[in-house]
Amino acid sequence: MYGMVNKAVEELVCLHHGDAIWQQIKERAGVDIDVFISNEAYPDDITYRLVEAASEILGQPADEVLIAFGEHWVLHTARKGYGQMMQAAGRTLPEFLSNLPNFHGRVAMIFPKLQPPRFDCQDITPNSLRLHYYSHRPGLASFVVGLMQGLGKMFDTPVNVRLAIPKGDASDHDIFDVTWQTTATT
Amino acid sequence: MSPDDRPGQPLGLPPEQFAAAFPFHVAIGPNLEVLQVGSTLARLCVDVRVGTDFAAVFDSLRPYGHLSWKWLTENRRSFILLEHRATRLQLRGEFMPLPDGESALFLGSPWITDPQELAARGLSFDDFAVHDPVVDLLQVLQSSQIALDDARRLNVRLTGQRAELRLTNDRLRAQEAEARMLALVAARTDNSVVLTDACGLTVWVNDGFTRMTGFTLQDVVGRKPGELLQGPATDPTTVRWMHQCVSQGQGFSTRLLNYSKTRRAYWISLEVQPIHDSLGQLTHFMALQRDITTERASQQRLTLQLEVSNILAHAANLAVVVPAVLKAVVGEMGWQLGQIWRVRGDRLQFVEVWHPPEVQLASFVGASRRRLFAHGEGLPGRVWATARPEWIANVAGAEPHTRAGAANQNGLNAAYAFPVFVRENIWGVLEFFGAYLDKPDAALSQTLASLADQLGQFIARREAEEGLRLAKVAAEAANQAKSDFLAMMSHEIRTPLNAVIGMTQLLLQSRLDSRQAECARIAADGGAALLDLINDILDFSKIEAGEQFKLESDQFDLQRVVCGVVDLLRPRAADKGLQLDVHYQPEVPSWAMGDAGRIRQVLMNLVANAIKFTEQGGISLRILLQERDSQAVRLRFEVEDSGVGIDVEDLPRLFQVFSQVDRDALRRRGGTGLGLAISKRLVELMGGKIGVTSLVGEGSVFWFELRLAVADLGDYSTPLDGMSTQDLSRLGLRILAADDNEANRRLIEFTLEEMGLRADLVRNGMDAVEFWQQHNPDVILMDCQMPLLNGFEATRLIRRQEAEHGPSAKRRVRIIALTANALKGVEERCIEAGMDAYLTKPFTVQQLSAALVPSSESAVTPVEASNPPVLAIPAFDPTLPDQLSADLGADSAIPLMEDFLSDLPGQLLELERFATENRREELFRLAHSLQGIGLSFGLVGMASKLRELEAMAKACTVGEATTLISLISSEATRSVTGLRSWMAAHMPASN
Repeated sequence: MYGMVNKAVEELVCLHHGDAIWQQIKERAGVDIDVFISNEAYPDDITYRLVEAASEILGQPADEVLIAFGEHWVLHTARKGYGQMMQAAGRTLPEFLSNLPNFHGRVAMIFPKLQPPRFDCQDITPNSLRLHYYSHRPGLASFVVGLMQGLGKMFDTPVNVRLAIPKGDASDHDIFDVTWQTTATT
Repeated sequence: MSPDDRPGQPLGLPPEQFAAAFPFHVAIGPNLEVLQVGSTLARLCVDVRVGTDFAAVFDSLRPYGHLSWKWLTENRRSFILLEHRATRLQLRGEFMPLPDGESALFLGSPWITDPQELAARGLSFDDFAVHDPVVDLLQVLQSSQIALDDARRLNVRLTGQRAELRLTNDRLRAQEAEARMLALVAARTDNSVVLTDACGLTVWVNDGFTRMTGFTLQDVVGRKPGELLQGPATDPTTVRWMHQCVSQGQGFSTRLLNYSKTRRAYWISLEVQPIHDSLGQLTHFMALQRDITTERASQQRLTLQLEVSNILAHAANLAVVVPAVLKAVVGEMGWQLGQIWRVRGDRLQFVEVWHPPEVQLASFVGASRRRLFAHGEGLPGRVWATARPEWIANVAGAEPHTRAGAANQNGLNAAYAFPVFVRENIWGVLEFFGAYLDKPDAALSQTLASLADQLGQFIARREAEEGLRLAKVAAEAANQAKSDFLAMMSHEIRTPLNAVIGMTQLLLQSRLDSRQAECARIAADGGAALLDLINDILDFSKIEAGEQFKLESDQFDLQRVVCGVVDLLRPRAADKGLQLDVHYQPEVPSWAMGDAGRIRQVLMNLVANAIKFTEQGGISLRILLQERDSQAVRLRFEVEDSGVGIDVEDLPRLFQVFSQVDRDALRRRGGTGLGLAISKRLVELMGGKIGVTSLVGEGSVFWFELRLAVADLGDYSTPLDGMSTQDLSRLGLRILAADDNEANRRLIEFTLEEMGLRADLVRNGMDAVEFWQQHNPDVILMDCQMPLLNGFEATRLIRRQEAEHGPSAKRRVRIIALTANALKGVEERCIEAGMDAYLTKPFTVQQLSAALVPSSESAVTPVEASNPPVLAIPAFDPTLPDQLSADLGADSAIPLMEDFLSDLPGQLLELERFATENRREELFRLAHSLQGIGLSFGLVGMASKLRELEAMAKACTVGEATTLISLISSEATRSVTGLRSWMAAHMPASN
């Protein structure tokens, strides 16, 4: 995972709970890194450990932490670093979502060590689509939910995300039903 | 350009797909006219239309040059950077000729390096061809920017951490240096340092430890220091407390007796501190030990000395001192027992023992108590014999036949004994025992010897004091015997003298021929002189007795006192042909506060002396003002004579008792020789001084000075004149005289006859009581010393019977004591018995007449008092309340009376206060008001006195009012009795 993901976790914790709690979480997670470099690749394990430690210390289920983390990633981390870029990626939620596969394709090129997930939008209607999420990293479905909710807030569009078919026997990837209200944008 | 020549056509691409693939392309003809424009470019640069002059809207920035067909041809395959003039949009790309050879195609895309420009130009990713890498470029640039920010952040943080690290390093280096220094100090210090682990097992000791204890690190490592260092005399309580502290991980400091490897005992001051690691875990204890043996011994000696000095300074007697000293020594030295032996004849006798109560030493103490030591026998006996201190290390061995067994049984191993000297003789021996009692060093021996000296001095002092006390008791007893003798003599002499003086007075008043009158006068003078002598002796014995002598402090007219003395003595001076002058300095106030009688006595004495010792010339009395302030004056009284004078050598003896300078003169001139001594005592008692200056042959000046408070007199005027005997005779008093002495009875009878009064006479108290019961006299003159029932007893009996019968049954009889005993104390006995006044025999007609009527001051009447009679005036007139009751009804009248009676005591006090404070107007008003009410209730006796008071207040003669008010009070008592009886009789039945 690139540094910007871990940085997002750090920012989220520091914003809501302060630096001391972040230090505790790092200590609990056994992570001794002072500054995460955004475009530096770090072992995935670090991210998982941080999320787990945050869950324990903050007394929140890991899923909740991941959802909050996904929202924060969209609304703060990505928007701060890539605000204009995200804006250029679409003026509305559906537009943005339809660009998501291309976007990740480009990212994979630029950050060769990233191994980013792959998104695919299907069954697109004016107020829904089916989001296929392919990732070799397990357990991040809630993070995707958070991302989608964050995007809904970013585009001021009430959005509903539901994990329709989790990765398993029925499917080799997670499939989400994403619905939104069309009247939200002009 | 034919439709087939349009860009894309050759590839068979439909124009929409070509446009989508190249949204920023432009096709131009040979005249640089625009032939075709990509859709996005057309949206961004609205002036780029088909037909527009390409060179008019674009400039080439690289390569630089004017756009022309020729320039285009020359720069095909070149990297071209165009700038749209209107929007400054830069396009990067290349020109390529189209197959028709007449047109060219520019393929490019916008050159954007800042994502903000995307938004500024209204571009989205969809405006770019999917293959266009500009979007990726932007992403890369953005990522790099973010990464750069991260790197900057990291740099800042690392810089901060490095600074912190430097500080930490500096601190660590300093700590390390300090630790090295401390380790060096610990190793080299003379104090002992021990480091143990958390359980108290030694891990390290310094060289100081080895020097102090003799144990090396190898000896002690892994062992508890106490196991090696503590010994038999180490205090187990302290050791237990130390263990407790260690087990709780606490530091402590204390003092302790330790033992070296060679078993040398030494005292240490010990400080133990726990050491914790960074997590707060106890890891070690560090113990610092300092040898304080010398310091402690010196402190111990000092404390002991102070303690013993303190005991000796405050204790009253030896019984208190001895156990306290033994306790001090035993306690301070840490020994077990101390005892003291006293030399009695040829043996030493056990006196006292002390040991701490918790130490069981019964056997040894018992063995000591039973012992008597002969000279040289046992430890005390040896010290007695050698007169030197002795130490024994082994009691059992040294005293095999005396107390060894008991000592052994009680664990007393060693002893030290030393002598106590009183006036260079051995008074006794102090002996101390202990389980461990080291031989006292020179300093301690000296301290103990000094204690013995102090004790010896104390004993000597107390013996001397006891001697003095016994002598004082003996002297006091002798003095008391003298006083008793004087009092008895005065009584025994006064009684017959009383008869002599009284009878000669009566004799002189009877019809005598001249020779008989001369004889009677001589007898009267002799009697008077004898009475003077007795009075002088009595006076002196009273002054000597001190506590019995009381000075009065009243307002008095000083001028009158002086004149009285001169008037009295002038005839005596005139008889000798001497002049007697008075000089009363005008500044001297007439009135003062003090004891007029005593001042008169001193003046009388000095002036009479002057007359006595002067044969010609005269005597001059001067009263001079020395000093004055707002409250007091200092006066000087001088009596100057032109007499024989006194030799300088004799002057000091002049004021001594029974000392007359000229014995012959004494015999010639008479006198007791007590006069000047009495005067001196009296003046000194009044806080003054007395003295004399004299020249032989020229005369003397006797003087005294007194400080007297100035009287605040207001309208004070001369006292009321005493009541004349004629007044008394008119009262028709019924008088009973009780005296066992026939002469006295006769004297009283005659004296009363002189006053126009008659008396009934009885011989003892019993008869007096009986007479009183039957005849109810107004006054009883009661001799105090009578057979059967004495005066005091008779009075008590009468008063008791009066009380039993109630006030209304019998009028309270006035009882006047007659006593020949003029000493103080008799007066108190009279009051206590219930008498109203007392007279000292012999008395004069005036004194008796003054005593016959009630007094103002107190139950007991001073003989000078002289009051108007009250007995003849009716106290209560029942017709007046009768009238009031008729007018108001008893229901209303009686509550009024009750209110009045309850207020009356307070009102009388008010009267007194107003009179004392000279508030005439208020006095007048209150007297007037009380008089009116009193009359309404029938209190006529009281009302008549109030009328007098009223007049007095009006006439501004309030000075005498207090006397009158006392009379009013007495009168009120009588009147009120009548009123109360009336009220009881008229109380409404319903109540």
